[in-house]
Amino acid sequence: MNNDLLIQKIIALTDGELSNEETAEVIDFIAQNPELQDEMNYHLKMKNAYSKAIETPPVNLKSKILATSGLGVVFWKTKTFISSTVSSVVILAVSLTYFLNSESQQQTNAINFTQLSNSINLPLLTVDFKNEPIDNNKESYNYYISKKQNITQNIKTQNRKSNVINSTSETIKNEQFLADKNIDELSNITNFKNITQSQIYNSNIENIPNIFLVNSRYKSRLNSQKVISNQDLEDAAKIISKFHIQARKTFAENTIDLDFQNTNNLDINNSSFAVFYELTNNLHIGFEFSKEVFAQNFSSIEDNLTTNYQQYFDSNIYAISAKYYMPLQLFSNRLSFYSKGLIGGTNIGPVTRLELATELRLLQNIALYAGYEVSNLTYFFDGNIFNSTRNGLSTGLRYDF
Amino acid sequence: MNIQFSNLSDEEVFALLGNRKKTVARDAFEELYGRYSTKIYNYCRKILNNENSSSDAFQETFLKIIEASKNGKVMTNFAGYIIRVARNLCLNEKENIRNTMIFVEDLQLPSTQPKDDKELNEIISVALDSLPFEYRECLILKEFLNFSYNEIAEMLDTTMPIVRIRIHRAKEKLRDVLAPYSKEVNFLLE
Repeated sequence: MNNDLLIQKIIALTDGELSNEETAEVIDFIAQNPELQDEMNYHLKMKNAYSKAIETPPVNLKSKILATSGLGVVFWKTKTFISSTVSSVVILAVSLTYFLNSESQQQTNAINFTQLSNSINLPLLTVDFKNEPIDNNKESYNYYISKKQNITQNIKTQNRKSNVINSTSETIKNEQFLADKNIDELSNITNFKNITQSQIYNSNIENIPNIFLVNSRYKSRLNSQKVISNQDLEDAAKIISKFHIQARKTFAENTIDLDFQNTNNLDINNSSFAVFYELTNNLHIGFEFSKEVFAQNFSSIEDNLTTNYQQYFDSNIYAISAKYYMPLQLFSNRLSFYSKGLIGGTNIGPVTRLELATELRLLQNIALYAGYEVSNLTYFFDGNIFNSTRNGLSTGLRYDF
Repeated sequence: MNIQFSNLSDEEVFALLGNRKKTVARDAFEELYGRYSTKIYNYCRKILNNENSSSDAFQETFLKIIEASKNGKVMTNFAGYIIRVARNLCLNEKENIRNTMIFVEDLQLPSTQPKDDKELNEIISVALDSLPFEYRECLILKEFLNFSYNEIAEMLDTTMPIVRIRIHRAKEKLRDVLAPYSKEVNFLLE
């Protein structure tokens, strides 16, 4: 075996590429030639060196490949999370709005109205009383029912001079005429028959032919009585529609630049959530919860040595605030301007904030706003009162219910 | 459908990489990446000896694999295919960075005694650069990617004896290059 071939076999041996027979042969040869032991040791050491030189691919390369190839799960999950959250909020808002604004589909039990009608000879006329307040506690109101032709005849008689009514075809005018009468005036019209409120309420009156409704207000009154609980919801909807919420992120910075950085809760610091109520068109008041980081420099004398301190204060601010919308509105009222004042408290002292901002309405219920703000925290520390100030830009979204 | 990717062959996982269902495709990618990322990265890294270029070649290799699967390529030898893709990309990268062969006398290894594996890696990478491409590639495939001589021969479309000779010559040349640094290398390996 020449030297070159021998070394080749030793290398193949260290590479684990020899058969059992070849391995035994080479090992025997090395045993007989101790100088070859160093050769094999060298190659084993180098194999060890190669294994130590194996590198791990940087983590970011994988995400780059995923992003480029469109398989990126992080982006996909984020997108899904955002879209599902947004759609959930939208669906909730739409459902709530629809629920609060929709009329109840409450069903009532119809009385035997046919029997009643028969007794008074259809067609009928029911009469509403203008400006009469509804008393829910009252068992019944008097409603007048009579033959249509008789009413028309009486109306004709009463309005002959004014020529308001001159034929039975002008029933709308008749209705209006009746609606404009008060109860005393209507009582003077003959051939009207009164039925109780409960009889009317419990009837499926719209489905009975030949019933003559005086005007739409009668129907609305009927509905309002039937679905009194829905009225409460409508009122609630009106109140809720005056509320809006705001999420805000501020990029304001402390006026004091410290040498170290606070790393606590970086994602949620310097942000806030607020609920506002529209007191008037221009004035909104609200409650706001903020997380802001204030910084401070101060000196302390200890043992005749002055020590400079720097500190951050992660504040949880509970505050009330008021927004004043300026009368100036641009781009079909989509762009408006407001000033906001806030006063609140932390566990170490009061916070005030002033803000000037502009608000752009993106959708009917969603607006984007951005502005400039100045915040101040006053607090007591180490026997002194400190003021820490932040100022800068802030932005956020407003959602109207 | 719950697929146990770890039980599948490279070729079967590759076929699933082009699956229309994104979750399946992603899981297939994760499996192949787990199996081959270290190998391909080290191949690119040692061939190119340039961090940026090797990262580019590494990413491009996997992107081409994904694309090939999406295009419905039928795979018979995935390991060979991915190495050939990486090889072609590395050769292109080498053209770009004008990484010509380094002569032994021009070789500049770290002047100070290496202190850790990182410096050992640097010495070996620079030394590898001095080898002819064919020798270097065989050595890398054997020592850093742990392929057998037969597998290397199949990948490079050559014979096993040629691979053995190339590896032998590569190691002998490397020994010459590293001779002045044998103390340092020994120091790290002790």
